[in-house]
Amino acid sequence: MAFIEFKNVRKEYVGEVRVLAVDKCSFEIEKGELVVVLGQSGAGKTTILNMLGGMDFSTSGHIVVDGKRIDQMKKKELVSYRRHDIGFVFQFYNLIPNLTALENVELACELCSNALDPKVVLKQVGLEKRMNNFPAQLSGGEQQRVAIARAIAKNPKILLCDEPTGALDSKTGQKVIELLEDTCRNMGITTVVITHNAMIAEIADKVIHIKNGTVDHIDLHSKPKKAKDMVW
Amino acid sequence: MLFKNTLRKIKKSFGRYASLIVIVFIGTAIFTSLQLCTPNIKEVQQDYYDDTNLMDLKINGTLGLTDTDVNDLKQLDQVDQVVGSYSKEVLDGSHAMKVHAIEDDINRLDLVDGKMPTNDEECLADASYYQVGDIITITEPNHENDLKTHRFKVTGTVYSPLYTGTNYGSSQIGDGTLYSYMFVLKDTFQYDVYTEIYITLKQSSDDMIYSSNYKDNIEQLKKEIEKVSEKAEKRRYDELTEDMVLQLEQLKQANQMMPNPIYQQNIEALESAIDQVGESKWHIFDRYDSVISYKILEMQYDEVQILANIVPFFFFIVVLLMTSNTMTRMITEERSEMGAMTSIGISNRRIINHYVIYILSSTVVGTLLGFLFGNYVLTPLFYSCFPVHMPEMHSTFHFGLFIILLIFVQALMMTVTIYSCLKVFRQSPANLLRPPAPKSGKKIILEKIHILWNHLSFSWKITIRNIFRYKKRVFMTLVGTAGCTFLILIGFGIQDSIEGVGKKQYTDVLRYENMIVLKNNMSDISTSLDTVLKDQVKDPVLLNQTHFKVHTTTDDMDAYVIVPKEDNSNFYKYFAIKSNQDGKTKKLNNNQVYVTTQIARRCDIEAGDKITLEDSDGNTYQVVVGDIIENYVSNYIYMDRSLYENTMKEEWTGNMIVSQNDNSKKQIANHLLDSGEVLSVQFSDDLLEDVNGGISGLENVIVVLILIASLLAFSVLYNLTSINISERIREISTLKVLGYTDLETRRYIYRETLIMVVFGIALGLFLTPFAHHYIVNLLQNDETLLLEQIELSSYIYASLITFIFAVIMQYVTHFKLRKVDMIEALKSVD
Repeated sequence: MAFIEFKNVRKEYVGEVRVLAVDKCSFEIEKGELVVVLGQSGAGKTTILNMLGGMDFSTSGHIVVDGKRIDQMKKKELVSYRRHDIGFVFQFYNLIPNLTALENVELACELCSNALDPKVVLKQVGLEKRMNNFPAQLSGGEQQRVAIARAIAKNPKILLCDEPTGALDSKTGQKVIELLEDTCRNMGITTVVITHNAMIAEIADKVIHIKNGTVDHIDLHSKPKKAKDMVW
Repeated sequence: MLFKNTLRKIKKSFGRYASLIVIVFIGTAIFTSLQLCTPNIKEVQQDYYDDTNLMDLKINGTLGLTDTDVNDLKQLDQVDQVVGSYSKEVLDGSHAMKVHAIEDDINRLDLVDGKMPTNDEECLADASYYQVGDIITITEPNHENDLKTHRFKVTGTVYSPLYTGTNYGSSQIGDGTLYSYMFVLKDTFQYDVYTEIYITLKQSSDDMIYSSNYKDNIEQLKKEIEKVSEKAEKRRYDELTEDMVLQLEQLKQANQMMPNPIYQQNIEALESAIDQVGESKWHIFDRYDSVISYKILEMQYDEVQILANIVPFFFFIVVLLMTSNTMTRMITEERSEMGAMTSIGISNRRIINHYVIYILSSTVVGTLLGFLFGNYVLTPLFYSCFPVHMPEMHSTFHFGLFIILLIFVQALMMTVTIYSCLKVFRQSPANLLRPPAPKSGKKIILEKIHILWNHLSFSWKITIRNIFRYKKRVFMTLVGTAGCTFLILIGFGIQDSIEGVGKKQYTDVLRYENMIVLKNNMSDISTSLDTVLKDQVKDPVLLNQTHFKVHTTTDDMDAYVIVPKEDNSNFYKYFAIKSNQDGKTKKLNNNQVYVTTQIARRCDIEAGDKITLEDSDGNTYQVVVGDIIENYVSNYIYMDRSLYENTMKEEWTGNMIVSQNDNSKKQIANHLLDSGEVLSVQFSDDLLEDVNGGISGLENVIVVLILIASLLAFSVLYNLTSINISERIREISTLKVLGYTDLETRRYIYRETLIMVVFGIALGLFLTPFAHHYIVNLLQNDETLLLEQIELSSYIYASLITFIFAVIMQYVTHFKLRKVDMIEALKSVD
């Protein structure tokens, strides 16, 4: 059985208007893989990521992560799942403005017992000299690095990134992608990156194309490009 | 178009619009109810007295009053009505009650149930105790026979304006307490003279009850009556003794011419008969003396008025802070919209106008609703707390006050809104279209103290830094909770100050258990009195207590001069004459007197000063003050017997006895009053109860204060916590995504609030004693000195109640926090 398994997942938003966001969505992800979920905006990528990250409930279907049925978890179990198994990186960094870079990472480390040393992680993302700066004193790329450090410091099983380069210029974006690639390859963390940028897809082991809320097709790269060699 | 935008804004953010209305509503309601409470209740009282045509003065004559007296009084300029009437204290079983004659024109009754009596065997009775159909059997004291019948059927129940309160005061018979009253036809009394005359004043519209104008008029009239009284007293005395005197003279003449033991006997008999007639004296009473609760109500009006002057001040600060916070936040949130509007070319003025419409419409609604609620709901609620029998309140709409309030609130709100808008407009439109630069985190001073900072746990560091980050909010939490604590503590504190007084006075200062007023002065406890007292009381001390006016250069006031027969150990057992300075007991001596605190304060007296005492006949005496001594209720001057005799140049005689109970109170009272030697008996614990009973209305004031305080705490904390949550929604969402449990998130958000609540409580506790000191000084009058100390338990209650409010509020917002949608919050740029 694969490390992550989506089987016939469906997500319907019931409000004034019923919106079918994701339907008949099935894919598998192996442990340690670097996966890119690619699609136009509004295709349903984020919904998939949210369900995978335990931030949203699916309407029907199976979601299995490391042998556990995420779709059947209660709210409390989901909190624990997010806490121990998942690291998130967002388009808008979402750092806590009143904490220094180091403290933002520490905040996450406080949560789990097998967390990594925050200082080591920050050094790893190349911010050893800016550790004591507040988010407002950091550039966008640096802030995103702190966000990544915060996510990986928890030592999660899966790293989920929602448009991590969306708010960055191409050069900075490339550095961030490099960092994600390193993280995945060196630390062995299964990494899922959502993007609408096809360029990024080239570095992935697996590319899942999403269209109209369902999996259009899946590309496998046996020899993915290095992020360094990407041409933006 | 902009107007439409405003309407849509109201609809969209109805929660915020409603919260503005609610804040203004609460503020206005509390302000209005406190401001209008006293005038509205006074109006009820005034109307009630007007409707029933309550007397302004009452005259009692020791020898009765005649129609001639009535006619003489009618000649006075200021007098409107003069009515001669009857009353008598009787016993219903062992309970004293007062029988009055029904009058049509004065002190009219408020018939609660039933109908008026038609014959001598029917009566109207106190609606608080009797029902129609009850039979009342009474006995007259000393086997007198002033009423035709002694068994009455209650045909109707009434409230009398003479008994406005629930406590009817004292009586001269029974156990000394008056329990109830009844009214019978005038003919039922068999007196040949009136026992009292009721007088009403010619009134102008300025003569509202308690007004200084009214008081002046009463004093003036009293003086005029005193002129009439001298003649009348003599006339009545002559009338009664005329025949006897004539007869006596004839007998004396006869006896002189032809001495005869029978003549001599008759002469002696006549002389003693003339003596028996006694002194002829008028006593004039105003409403303070003879209308139950008239005085207590005035005190309570003052209490409420003081609250009315202090409490709303807080609310205006709070309302101002909260609305400005809400508006600032709204305007900040909509900065891009404002930027868009200015970039289209809409003038700043029109943009400001559309916010002004938003806030003004909400405040007009809030003010109106608050005013109506305060006037028509809260004020009657306060009124129902007053222990009085008066008609229901029909509040009138005080248009003037409403307009003033409206203008004031509107002006305040407009200033706040325009100021917030202008602050935004100072930036260029292009700048407005961009999101605001995030507030940067800052190191705080505390971090420089490494030893301390490094020892703090991580979450504490965050909390402390957050406190420094959201200064405005922290400030408001402080003000809100400090205000809440303040209100509760001031309520309890006033209670402590007043309740403690009775206890101190009647257990610490005056330690006798009863006070027996004698019918006749005596220089020693006579053998007959001694027999009466035996087995009833222990360790009696004979003393003289006389009313004097104290004059100094600055002021004058009333006081009782107490002169014991001898200053033996029993005297010091009953009277604690303790110096204010060192708390040591002072011994009476023959060159100095000791005066109590209130006199010293009012008249600015120090030890060694000379004061002048004036007796009721206008004679003045000078004495030297030895020291100022502790005392709380009434004003006393203690004097040594030999000093008294030297100063007053008269032989000392005692007019009362203080002692300890040696039997049940009821037995003592019945026994002593039956003896004929005693005028009245007062028990200290009854006095204590009276003092405490007089302030039972105060408890309601405290309930109201706590209510107001809780409203304040709730509205401030709710508002702040929800703003806190909405402003920091991204932060909260981030935490949730990171896997913080609900409890951990709550702790993260609330800890700083709770810390500020604790600081706020501390601040409130710290500030209250100052205000309390001020209020207590305002509350105390010539008669009572209030304690300035607040009990420890009150501090504890006030803190606990405030803290509980804060915790409750956190639980309410907790549900809001749980609903935070982390995904939505994180996706958007705000």
